[in-house]
Amino acid sequence: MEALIKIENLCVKYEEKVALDGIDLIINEGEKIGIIGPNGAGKSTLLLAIKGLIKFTGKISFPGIRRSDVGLVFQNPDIQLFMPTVFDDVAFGPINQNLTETEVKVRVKESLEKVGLSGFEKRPPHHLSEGEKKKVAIATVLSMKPSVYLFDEPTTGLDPLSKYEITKILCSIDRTMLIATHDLELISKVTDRTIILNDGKLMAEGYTQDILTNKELLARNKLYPLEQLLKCR
Amino acid sequence: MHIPDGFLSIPVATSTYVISGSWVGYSIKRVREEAGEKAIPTMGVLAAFIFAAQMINFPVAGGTSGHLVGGTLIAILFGPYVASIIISTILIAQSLLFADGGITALGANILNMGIIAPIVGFVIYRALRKWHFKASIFIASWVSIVLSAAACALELSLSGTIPINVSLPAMVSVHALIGIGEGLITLFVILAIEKFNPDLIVNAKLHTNNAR
Amino acid sequence: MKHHFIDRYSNLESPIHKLNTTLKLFLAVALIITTVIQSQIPAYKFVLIFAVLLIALYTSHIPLTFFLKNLLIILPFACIGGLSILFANSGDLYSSFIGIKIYHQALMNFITILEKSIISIGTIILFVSTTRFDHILKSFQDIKVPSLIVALLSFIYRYVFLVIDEFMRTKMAIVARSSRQPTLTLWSYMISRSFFGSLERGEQIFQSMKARGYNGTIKTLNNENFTTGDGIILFLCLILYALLWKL
Repeated sequence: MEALIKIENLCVKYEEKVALDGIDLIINEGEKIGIIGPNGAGKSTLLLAIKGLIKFTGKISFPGIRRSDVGLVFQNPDIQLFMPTVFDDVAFGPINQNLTETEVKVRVKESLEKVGLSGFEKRPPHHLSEGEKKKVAIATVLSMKPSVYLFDEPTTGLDPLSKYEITKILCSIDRTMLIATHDLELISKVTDRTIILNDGKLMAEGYTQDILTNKELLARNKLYPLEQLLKCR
Repeated sequence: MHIPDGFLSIPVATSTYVISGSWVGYSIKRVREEAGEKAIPTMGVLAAFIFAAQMINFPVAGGTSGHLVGGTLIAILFGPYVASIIISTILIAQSLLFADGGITALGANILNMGIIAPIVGFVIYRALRKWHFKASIFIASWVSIVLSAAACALELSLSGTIPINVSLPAMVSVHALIGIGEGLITLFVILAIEKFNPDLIVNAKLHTNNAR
Repeated sequence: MKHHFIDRYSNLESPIHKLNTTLKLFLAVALIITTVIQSQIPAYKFVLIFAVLLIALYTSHIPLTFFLKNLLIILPFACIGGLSILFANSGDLYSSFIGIKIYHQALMNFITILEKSIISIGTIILFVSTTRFDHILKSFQDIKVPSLIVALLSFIYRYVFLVIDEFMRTKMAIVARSSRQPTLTLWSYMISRSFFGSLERGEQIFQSMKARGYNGTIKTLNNENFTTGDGIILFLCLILYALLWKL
């Protein structure tokens, strides 16, 4: 397996707070990696740093690909979707890649098909449901055909059906990807490998199955309650 | 204060278009140099914020309510260039989405509310803030509203639509009252912003990182 | 919350909706200018122009009630200033009613202003409710409106209701915890909160744009063509406007 992204001693500081503290990670081609951890652990920060959107110290290198080949889907679709129509939003990336008009249109069509929203081209994003917004947000990155996908909380705040549909979309993407989430069910279905972040530090790394069955490890990292409340009434 | 279509003569409409176009064009050049790539997203959400704030009715005093115009507010925080661009864009949006303010009167409306108001507000605030911070904000916003109303009256009378001895007293007296609301709202909002982030009041620039 | 712009019918399908946006923009502005620069508008001319607007309205499937309702809502705002024209003291006395004197010339001036307002506002309502806002923005781009202005208009359209909804939620949260209506101080805290929220959102949107290759200008595809039908409409309208001008 060929390494696509190498992260060495990555540190990020927000004013006084240390958000990431000495992260080392190698992402190989074709791998699907889950990043789990409690609120404020540094999951989103890690994705932003990989995409080069924030200042960091340490080294992130991309052997074999360029940073522009990395696609990032933000947690909040109202941030991701800023154009007046779905078409313009999905076309935004491909146009910036200097593709021809025909290619852009094909990309938009394919991407919307892939997330199951064909025919939504003319819709304004503010009239979409939360689940639809999340899917269009994914389409805006799909249309750029990146080699590596970074997903920030792709299923947070969705109803069970939308969650299932998003999980299915992520399964259908046959590319290297990192998924930052609290949704343990999602990573158990989609990813092979999982890392645990807590307090900006890498706490554990291993096969998803091993990590998810290690209740003690999960509990130590606020991902699993120590005691089990069965019923309160 | 939005002048509709049909109230301005051809010379007044065209000359205000030329003045407004040149100033807004110059402002865009200045802001592009200062804020670079960030100009679009930052000013975009600010414009949406001011547009929304204009649609919200505030309780002012004694059971009356008013709404913010925001020219002086933005000028104090980010300088007159940013304010001119944002208010002018809002005026274009209002003339289309609400049919509020005429297409042929857009030049005049931009001149009154998008250029005179923020520049006057900015200059007065800068001149007086060392003397008295709070008073300078109130006076700046009040004068900016009254002067842009006076400019509006002047344009209407130059057009031969309403004689100056009718339009000026009427516009100025009404907006002297509206200006009190604008002054109070601008003052309170600036004080609230200062409470949460004093840096922003000191440097009138597009430092978006300060928001964190 | 329910929000209203006058463009709520802009998504319909009709011959008028299908017309080229720049053409529609040109025709609307040309009609307004032709109307505004007339010194007087005789009744038959007004009826003729209004009839043209109504025919266009009928063709566009936009409900007449929607059109008239918006016209009647906007018109008083436009004409409040016009009232001082009505009571101006000039020329022959036309009529006197409970001590208020109205002069002939003043009445004529007022009627002219009223006619101009009705036509211009009607034209704008027709244009905006038959044209999607994103098409208007692309047309602005084509006619070389500065790209920063076009981008700001696009952001206003996208985010204004989001801001209002957030604001209303904050207000509800405050009202839910106190029995009184919020004071000016509380309102200004709410506004400043939404101000900081906007700045932060701007920063995040900037990141999200950067992540998709943004480098200072927003580019979009414009897939509208100028068709033969557009050409015919342009030709007919130009003749009509010329007639209105000379008639």
